[in-house]
Amino acid sequence: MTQELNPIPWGAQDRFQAHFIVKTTRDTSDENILSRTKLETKGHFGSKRVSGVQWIGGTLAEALNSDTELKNMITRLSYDDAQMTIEPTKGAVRIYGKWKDSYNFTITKELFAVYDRIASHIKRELGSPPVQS
Amino acid sequence: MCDDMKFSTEDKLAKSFYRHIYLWVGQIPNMHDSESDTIHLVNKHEEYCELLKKIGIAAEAQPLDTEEIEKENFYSKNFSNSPAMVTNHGIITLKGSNIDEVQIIQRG
Repeated sequence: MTQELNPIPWGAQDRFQAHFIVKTTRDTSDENILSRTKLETKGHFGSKRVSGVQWIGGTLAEALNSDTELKNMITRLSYDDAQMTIEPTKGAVRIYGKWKDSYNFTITKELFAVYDRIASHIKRELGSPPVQS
Repeated sequence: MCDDMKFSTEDKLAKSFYRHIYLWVGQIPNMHDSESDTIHLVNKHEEYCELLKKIGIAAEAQPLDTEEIEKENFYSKNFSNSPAMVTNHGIITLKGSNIDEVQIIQRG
């Protein structure tokens, strides 16, 4: 029996999360900003791929659903990276994904571009001009 | 010669055995490899800052506990599965992006 050449880390490990924060001075209504992705997938286990994405939430979710380019960008991400939550807290709106162990706790250009585009929608929702990147 | 001053054959053998071990331990070659003994410890948010810089984002890791956002709640408690205990690992400020800051947190 041959040994697995690239074993997936398992067991009790440190889990990290990166919160991408858009600062705000306004009091944001939780119902309008609170949003989450609902994914349509194909395949199972390691071959699971994202085939479609729907945002569930308030007015921000409606704006994100109308952005076709953002949806295409999210479908190109891995299943783990495509699971996102947008949560307003005091003085900020946070965008974050899943908890990851230290081996998988990285950021890619594609993932950052998605977060940046979501942040531009948040800024429009809050009435601030978004940065053109 | 009284009995307790006599050394048995087993005692003599044991003494010679341990003497040889003592001499052998002194001759063990240096076990250290070529790596340096000093390790540069990097904070988690500094490590993440380097990853952001690698993908072309202008990022700067801030010293711990200097930003107001670190003192506030990290979750809005709208979701029941939000963790109750988290550890803050610091803030990274970004420039030229719609995202103002990145905060690294650890579960537990």
